[in-house]
Amino acid sequence: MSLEKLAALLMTVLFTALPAAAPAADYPTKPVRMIVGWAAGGGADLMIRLVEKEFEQEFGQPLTFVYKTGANGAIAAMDLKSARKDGYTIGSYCNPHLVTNILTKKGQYSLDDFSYLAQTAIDPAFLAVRKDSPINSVEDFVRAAESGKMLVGCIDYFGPTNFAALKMHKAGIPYSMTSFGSGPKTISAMLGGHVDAAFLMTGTSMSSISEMKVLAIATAERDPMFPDVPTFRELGYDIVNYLYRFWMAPKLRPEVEQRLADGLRAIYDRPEVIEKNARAGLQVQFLDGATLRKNIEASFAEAEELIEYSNSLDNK
Amino acid sequence: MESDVFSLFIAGLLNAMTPSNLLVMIIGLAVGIIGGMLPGIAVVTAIALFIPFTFTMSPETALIALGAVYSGATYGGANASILINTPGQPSSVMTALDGYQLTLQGKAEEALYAALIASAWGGIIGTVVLLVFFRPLASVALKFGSESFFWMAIFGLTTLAAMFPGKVCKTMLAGAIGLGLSTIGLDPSGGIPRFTFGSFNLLQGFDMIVLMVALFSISQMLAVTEENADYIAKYDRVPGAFRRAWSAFVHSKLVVTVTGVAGTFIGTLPGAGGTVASIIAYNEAKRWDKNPDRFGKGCLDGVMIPECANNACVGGALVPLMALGIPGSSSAAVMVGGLLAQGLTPGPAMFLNNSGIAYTFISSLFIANVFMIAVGYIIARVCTKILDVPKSIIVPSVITLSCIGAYSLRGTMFDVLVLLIAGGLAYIFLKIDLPPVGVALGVVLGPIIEENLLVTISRAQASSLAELFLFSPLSMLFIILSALSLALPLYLEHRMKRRRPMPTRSARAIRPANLIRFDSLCYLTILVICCCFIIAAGDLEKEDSAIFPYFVFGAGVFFSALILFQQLLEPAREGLTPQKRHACFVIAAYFGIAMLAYILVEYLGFFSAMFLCMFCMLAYDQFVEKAHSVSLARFARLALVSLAVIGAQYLAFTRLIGVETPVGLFV
Repeated sequence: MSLEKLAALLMTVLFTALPAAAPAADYPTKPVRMIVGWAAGGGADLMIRLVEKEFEQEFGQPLTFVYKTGANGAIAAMDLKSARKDGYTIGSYCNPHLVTNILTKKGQYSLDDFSYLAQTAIDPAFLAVRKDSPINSVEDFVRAAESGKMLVGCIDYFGPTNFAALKMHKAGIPYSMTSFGSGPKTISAMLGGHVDAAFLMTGTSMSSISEMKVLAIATAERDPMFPDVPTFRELGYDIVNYLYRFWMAPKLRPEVEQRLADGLRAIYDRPEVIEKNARAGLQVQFLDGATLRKNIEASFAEAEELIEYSNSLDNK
Repeated sequence: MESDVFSLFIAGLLNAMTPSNLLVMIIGLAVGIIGGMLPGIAVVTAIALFIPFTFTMSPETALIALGAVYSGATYGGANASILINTPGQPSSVMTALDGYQLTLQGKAEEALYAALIASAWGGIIGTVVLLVFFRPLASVALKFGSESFFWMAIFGLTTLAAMFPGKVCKTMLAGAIGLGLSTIGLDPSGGIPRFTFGSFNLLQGFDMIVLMVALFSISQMLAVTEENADYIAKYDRVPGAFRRAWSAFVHSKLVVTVTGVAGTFIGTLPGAGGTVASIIAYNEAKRWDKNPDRFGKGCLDGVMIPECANNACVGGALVPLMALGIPGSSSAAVMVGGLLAQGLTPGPAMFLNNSGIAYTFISSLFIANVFMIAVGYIIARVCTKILDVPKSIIVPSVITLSCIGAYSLRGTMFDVLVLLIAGGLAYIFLKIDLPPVGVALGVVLGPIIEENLLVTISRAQASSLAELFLFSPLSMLFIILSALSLALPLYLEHRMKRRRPMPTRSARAIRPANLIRFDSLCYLTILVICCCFIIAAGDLEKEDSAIFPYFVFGAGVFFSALILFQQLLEPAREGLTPQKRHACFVIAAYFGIAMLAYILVEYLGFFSAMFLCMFCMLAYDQFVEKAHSVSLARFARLALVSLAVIGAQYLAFTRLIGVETPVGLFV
């Protein structure tokens, strides 16, 4: 490539980029509100708090936190939907909650109401038993389920752990399921022997991981936190279920959306950010907005099918 | 092992006692106590608000700070309970029963100090138990399955029967109303909307703390305005209050210590917590007391016992956290978030990898509880000044403070509306002799009961329901305790009645005219509403989500019908006296001003509307009630007072905590 051509290319890029960059250059000029749909100190809050400082360095404006808890995050989603679309209100959200709230009619919104900025963390589901259980592998688990009445605990209704349990049940493993509503309650029920096994999530379980045996994890590939634990796929079950946490906003102007997405990418490119997240038990998995949106759309069908399956079990 | 723990404890003590750690601890205690005192700031909120400040601290200092906030906030609720009958925390509801009576008797200072000493003692008991027994205790706590939680909550509910001898039915009805309120929102069996009647705002259910503030704070403020006195309670400072509180504590040290140990144990159960602990402790102490009648009439034991129990829960809630990595309360769960951000993983691994930090933390709780007496003493002394302020200023201040507190919990004006309406209803409950404490108990215990009932039914798929519910050892224990707790007061009341002379035939005549009395009409309304809910429950899609509502509203119908029947038999009562008629008018005026302010928020902004609310209430009191002549100087003085109070709220909530409030023309 000749020097002139390169210069011409550079100029074209610069000129096409300028109009897009110009309005974004004056964003943000004031603090950005962060709407968190779950309690302070929880995963949704922690993910943002961990990069609070980096956000301010990147954007030159601080975040202010607003907690809108309730109805499995539906309240926060509705609030985001009706917020001003100027980029000064963004939110910390997660899926499958975004789609299950639509399916269970808790949230009156559609996927088009939001701009998806970036996925930044995942929280995989896994199957575990207590340390002194005779069950040592998924094979043992299946054998025990087939030979007698087996009770499996899940954290939530229509969350990743419940979906994983439903899928395995659908694959023909006979057991009953109970949801406890929160990670700590599920873990204590499992450690106390009130359920035989439990589907848990990594985020809320890391502190008591030494008290349990992890049988299999619902990620696509082996999880770096549990290198010795097989995935369900390896064992022949097509179960990939995790909570994915992301940054979203009411539908924004493209240039503001771009500015936020680029900034977030820059933040999560920093190795110290990934390390800080890992120390807090949050596994960073960065995905851009377009891929994230595609994944969320794809999760619709599975969620719908599993909710229907769960209702058919209840009616029996 | 014992000496090992002891030496680690001493090392931890020395670690915790660096000047910077102690300074952070004192700040944490003060923040916790003041936060805990304010209605609307829960212990969890206080800790969560403090977490960002700990990010820059060393892990040890951060833990010490969070532990101090946790201890301070758990105690702080007592101050507001005692002084203005407004529990700052749900766990201080029981403290108000005797605490406020003491204030009315002019013994506010003693009550405050007794609560302080008992709280600190409870905290120390909890810490010692945590230090020595955390491993065995954690495995005992794990034995509690959903069926045990269910029965334990039912046991807590039986407290209602013994709470107010002579009005068992009304207290039970109040409990049913509380349980009924807890069924609105998402049902726990599948997160499906229930009784929301298409309203999006109802989807999130009623916030427990908003209801508490409404039940106690708003209704109490309305009740206070009705009285003629200029101050909430006559109050003369008598020197030596602390000494008298101390000797009362020493006198009752045994019973307080026992409740502390019991409180620690209840604290170890994930999901139970300080409120359940204080309810059970108060009830049991009253039951086993030689003279149970003294409770509820202003005895220091009635203040010390629930306070000791709820602070002992702090240590208890950390037991499963330290032994198994499971937080025993929502506050402990928030602390886990703070720890994780520090790169520390709480739980068994912490004792292996960071045992120094773990023991420093536990030891620091010990010191924090000792320091709490000093910090709490100063704050309590300042707080008693509230009683020197005329009630015409206290009432609007507390009402506006409750509004901003309710708003800040979830950031929605709907909660403010719930606060005002529920507050108004709670005032009517007071008037028709329906104890708000009963409603509060129902609200607290309802979700625990229903959630565990449904989990148990679901678990029974893999075994038998009867086996789980009735024949597991812990279930049987709580069933027997509940039965005793129900039967004993009923028997006592029956015996008391037999001693009284039988009423003559004419006195027992049925008086249909009684049914058009105000209170009878209220009970009739409650009956009708309960029936409506039963019908609505029949339409629910899932059968499971209707079980608990059927039971609760069925109880509501039963008790309200029973009360109506009793009232039919009552002798005729006199109508309203002119004074009472006037009092009704005053209450309506105050309530109307508050509602008007709620409407104006959208146009003026939150604090401007609150300013107007306060100003109008003050002006109403000065110019209409006291009939002072209208002058510019008076107006200016009232505006200045309102500005100072609302300005302080603005600074505290918006500037310091960072709550975003609705903005209209102004803030």
